[in-house]
Amino acid sequence: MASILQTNDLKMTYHIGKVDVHALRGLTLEVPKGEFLAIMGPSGCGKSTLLHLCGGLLTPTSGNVVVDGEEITAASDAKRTDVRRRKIGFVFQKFNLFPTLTAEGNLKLAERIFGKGAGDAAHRRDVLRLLGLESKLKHKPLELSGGEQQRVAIARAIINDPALILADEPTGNLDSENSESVLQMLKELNERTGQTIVMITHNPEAAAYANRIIHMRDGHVVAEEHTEMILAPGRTPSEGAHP
Amino acid sequence: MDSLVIENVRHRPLRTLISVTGVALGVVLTVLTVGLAHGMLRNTAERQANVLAEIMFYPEGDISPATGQALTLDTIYGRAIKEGTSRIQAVAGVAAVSPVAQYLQTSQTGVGFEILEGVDFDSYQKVTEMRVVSGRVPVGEEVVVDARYAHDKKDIDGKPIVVGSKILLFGRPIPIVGIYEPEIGSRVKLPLDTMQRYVVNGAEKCSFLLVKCKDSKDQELVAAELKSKYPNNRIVMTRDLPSLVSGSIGSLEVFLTVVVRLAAVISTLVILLAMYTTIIERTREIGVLRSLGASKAFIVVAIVKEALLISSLGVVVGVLLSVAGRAGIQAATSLKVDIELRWILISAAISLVGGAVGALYPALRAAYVDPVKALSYE
Repeated sequence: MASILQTNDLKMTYHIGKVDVHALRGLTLEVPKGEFLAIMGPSGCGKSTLLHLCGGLLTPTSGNVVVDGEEITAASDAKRTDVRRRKIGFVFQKFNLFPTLTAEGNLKLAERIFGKGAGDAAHRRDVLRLLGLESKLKHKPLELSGGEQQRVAIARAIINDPALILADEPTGNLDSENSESVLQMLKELNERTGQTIVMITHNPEAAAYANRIIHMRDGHVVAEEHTEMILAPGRTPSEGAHP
Repeated sequence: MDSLVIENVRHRPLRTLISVTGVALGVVLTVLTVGLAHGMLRNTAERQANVLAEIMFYPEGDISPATGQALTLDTIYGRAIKEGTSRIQAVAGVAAVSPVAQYLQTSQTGVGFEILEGVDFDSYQKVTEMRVVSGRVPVGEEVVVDARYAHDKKDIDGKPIVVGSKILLFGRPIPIVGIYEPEIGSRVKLPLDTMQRYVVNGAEKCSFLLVKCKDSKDQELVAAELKSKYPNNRIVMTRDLPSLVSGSIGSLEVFLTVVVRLAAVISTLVILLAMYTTIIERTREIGVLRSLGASKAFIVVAIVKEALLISSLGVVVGVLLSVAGRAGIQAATSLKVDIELRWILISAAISLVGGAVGALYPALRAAYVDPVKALSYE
């Protein structure tokens, strides 16, 4: 299967004062189209740095990143921004919705940045319906629950049909009920539309929704597992997984 | 204008209100100050132009028809021009000559100045449209005022002015014995000899002569002959007074330029400060915009648009305040304020350009912010 995301010997070193902090130490990764990948690991292991590099928000010290066939490492900021605009959708732990805009307004903004002008109202409604938000079209973020806000953020991420969704701890600010709802949405999105998702999480239950989990430590991938093998037959991830 | 810009402006009402007020003050400063200056000049020129005389004969040197003229011209010139002397023939084509003396004193309210005119009422009524509509022509220590003055001002007891009221002239109460129309020259007139007694110890001096031609079509010829006989004196055609009045106050243009520049600086600083604060507040949102794929140009344009929206609101509020200010000033005082489309457009352009320039630094700063740092900004 064609890969949507590839990283080759990716290294990232931060220079903090006189100290060099090696966030990534030669990470190679391939994400096939349609995969739901979870990345786990302790704080400071380089998960977020990896996600930001994959999204073209950072430039690696060495190595490269290829998104849907486009090499973005050596590209200019404008080119990386363009790739991000056309091919990547971000979902953040803190939702990061624009508080002044309604749910629909947040989607329209993403459409406008994409270059769709006024956008497609029917498509917006479809996406919000897919995420169970059709009645929240005109609500502003502060009028929505945490789970609803995160679902709007997911809707915003997928409104332009990106090749890749990068989710940074999407359930980190949610209670268990809302977490399950959001993860279920991501899972359905992945299964129904074949949307490729790369999700960072600390939560093994959340990671269990993914097809594959990689574990990182000190800037390396240290383990990899496929969730189909660890889930109990007929159980959802939240209902429990085999050790 | 997109919804992000509009909603940002609506979402921060206090910031918007303060910014709009700042820009509006710049507009008011420009429109009202220029309007006041031009209104007063126009009104002065119009009153000066309400004379029938075609020519004004001044002493040599600079003249200042807007702020009054010292008593340096010998009144003997008047008789020489009209009747001739033993050595000089009368100027052909002259029907009447009237000497006018001007004196600048602190206004009755103590704020600002007013010009008094000493005139020879017999000859003055031959060279102007002046007619006393109530009371009589003054004699000795008496004055007449125009209808506008009577309407706007108060007497020394703070009562509305009527025939018989007293006002302060030369530091003493002087009775008003008549009201005249139309508005000509200064609003307060007294006999020429009274003014000469107060100002130049009774010397036969005046500020200028009003010269009425027998036939208005001959005014150029009469002026040319006056010029040839009195080459050192200044000859001014009354039809040129409006432009002469505005041009006579060279420092006014400097003052107005300073006001306009000050307004530009105010608009720019207000917007710069408002947008800079906004950008700091919205650092995370800028990171989110970058994560959504917004280009640097997109961010700059969004911020400049927001600044332009605020500036536009400021212009509208400023113009409305200026109109209200004019109504208030004209109702409470005798000052004239001309609100001119040209200056509204100039002040709008200054505010918009100032707003765009003021927003540019915060906008560029936002566009170049590190998106990862911005996303983690608390």
